[in-house]
Amino acid sequence: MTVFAGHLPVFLIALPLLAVPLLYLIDRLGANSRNVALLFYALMALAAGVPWLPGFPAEVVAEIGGWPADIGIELRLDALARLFLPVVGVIGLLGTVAADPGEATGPFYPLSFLLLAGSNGLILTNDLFNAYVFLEITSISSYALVGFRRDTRGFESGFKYIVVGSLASVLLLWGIAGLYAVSGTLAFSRFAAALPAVPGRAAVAAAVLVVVGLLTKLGIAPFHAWKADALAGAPRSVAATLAGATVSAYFVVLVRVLTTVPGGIGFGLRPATGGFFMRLSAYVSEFVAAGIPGMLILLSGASIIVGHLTALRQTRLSRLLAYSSVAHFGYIIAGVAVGTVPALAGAFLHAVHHAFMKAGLFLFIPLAADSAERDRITSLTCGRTAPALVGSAMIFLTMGMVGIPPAAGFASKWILVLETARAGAPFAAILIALGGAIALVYYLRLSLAAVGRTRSSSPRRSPADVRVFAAFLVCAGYVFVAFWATDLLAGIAISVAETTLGGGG
Amino acid sequence: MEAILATTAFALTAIGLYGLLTCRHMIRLVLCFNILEAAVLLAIVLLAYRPEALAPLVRDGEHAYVFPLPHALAVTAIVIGASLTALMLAFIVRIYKSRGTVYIDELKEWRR
Repeated sequence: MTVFAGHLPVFLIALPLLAVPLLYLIDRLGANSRNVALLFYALMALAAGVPWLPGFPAEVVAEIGGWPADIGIELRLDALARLFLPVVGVIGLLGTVAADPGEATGPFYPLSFLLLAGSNGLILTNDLFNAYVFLEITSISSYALVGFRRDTRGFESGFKYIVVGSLASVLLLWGIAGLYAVSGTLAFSRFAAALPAVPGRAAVAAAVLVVVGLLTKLGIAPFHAWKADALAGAPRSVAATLAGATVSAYFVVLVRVLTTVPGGIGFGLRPATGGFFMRLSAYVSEFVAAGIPGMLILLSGASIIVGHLTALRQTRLSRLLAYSSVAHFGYIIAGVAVGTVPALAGAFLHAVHHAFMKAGLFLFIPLAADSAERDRITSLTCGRTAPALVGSAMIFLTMGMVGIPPAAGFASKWILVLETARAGAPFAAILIALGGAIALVYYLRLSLAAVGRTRSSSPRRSPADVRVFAAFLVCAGYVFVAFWATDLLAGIAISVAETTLGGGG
Repeated sequence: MEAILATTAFALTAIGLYGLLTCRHMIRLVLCFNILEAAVLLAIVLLAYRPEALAPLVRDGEHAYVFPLPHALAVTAIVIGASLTALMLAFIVRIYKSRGTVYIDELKEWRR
């Protein structure tokens, strides 16, 4: 077990990379690569669950080429990686299963595996520059996948996404170069020792560049404008993967940066405390004095407000879901910013739950819309395969997004509201609670529009329909089961948060 | 020497950002990204610079040599930049074929 465990982090990255040329070759030889791809993806999702087996060591460190972290690259399968690897694997698998066979041709499956390899690498790496490389592998394959509908909208979405994403990458690279210049190391685990506990201006500026680059990749306001275009132009299965799996991997890197670089979270700096009714200017100046956590909590507040209010005005479901993602990552970043163990645990839990809920709702679109183009909310139906089941599962998922029990979103949101308030950020707690009220309006509109109408046209049922249906139900099922397993999941999230904060500060 | 190169890196960043904000032609946007990329690469290579030092090929162990790690980072970043440029240009070709324009403000799909 131990010998195998030591190599697992390498396999989780190397095997998907190996699949890329193999699947491309199979496709070029004229064979159907879909079943091979699905089988292999399922194996990778299972492999991501291996660290949960009893007897698996709590932390596995793989030094690539035998070089230690100060001159080499280290892969580290720790508690945080153990929590998010299965999320990326399972949601990526659901997205790949649900891929439309008309769109999933040529390099589609190779690109999906490149995306998986990049995401796994992001979660596992202990090296900031290595994280940049995996970030670019992930981003470049997702730019290409967004354009995969091969129509004008797809290409334009892809181009907008690539422009914003590349700008984020340049900022990130500047920040990485700066952090390396001031600290002389690139390993996450060494920043705390290499930098003073109260970092100088150059270190803070570099860390801010890294954080802003990652926030842009996550789609936090005011860096969120690409998100709706990218997700609306992408094939639906790709949108589900990007909104669920890929952002989770970006989020893990953000957490690693924040918890290991001094000036991030868990280093004694806290966002502003004090009354809600203070003058706004005094409030803002207090946030600014709190450094990066203060910046994060201001941006999270902006995301919640902007995301929900823009979602309210959308007429297309994919854009509505994208703006809702902006708001939900606002919740998650608020939990990260206050930086206490329970708030961080709430943020992890909400990141996992949100990934499944959002992936599920993106998979609802191909079931509910007549064609990929028509996802206008007023023209949606509940599909032709078991409309009652699809409708109730969709309503259940939207309950999760709003935060109504018994859907899993309620539990994680409840923890976030309580813990941000307790940690001295009542502003964030109020916004999270109010956000649910706005979300209720637009999700009710969606439910009222879709429920009760079944699709009458095109009675023929395609095998692809059944696969989308199954993937959609798995997401809804997770949201249901996870609510009843809240005690278990919250316990796991708290132990992950404890390890993560303890490792850095 | 270092001051001149550092100033150049910041000047290139400023030029690149200015271009990103003002250019409407998509290929010019790609060029602006290449300028931004070159600026960061210059800054990274500058981290390795030591006065009077030679390339890090140690034969006699006597002469001073520049720090090799940033060079490795720069080579990796060049590869990434090249693939990004290729993908951007591929998107531009496809957009030009389907819409017949290379000006970014003539793309209408995002506003529907």
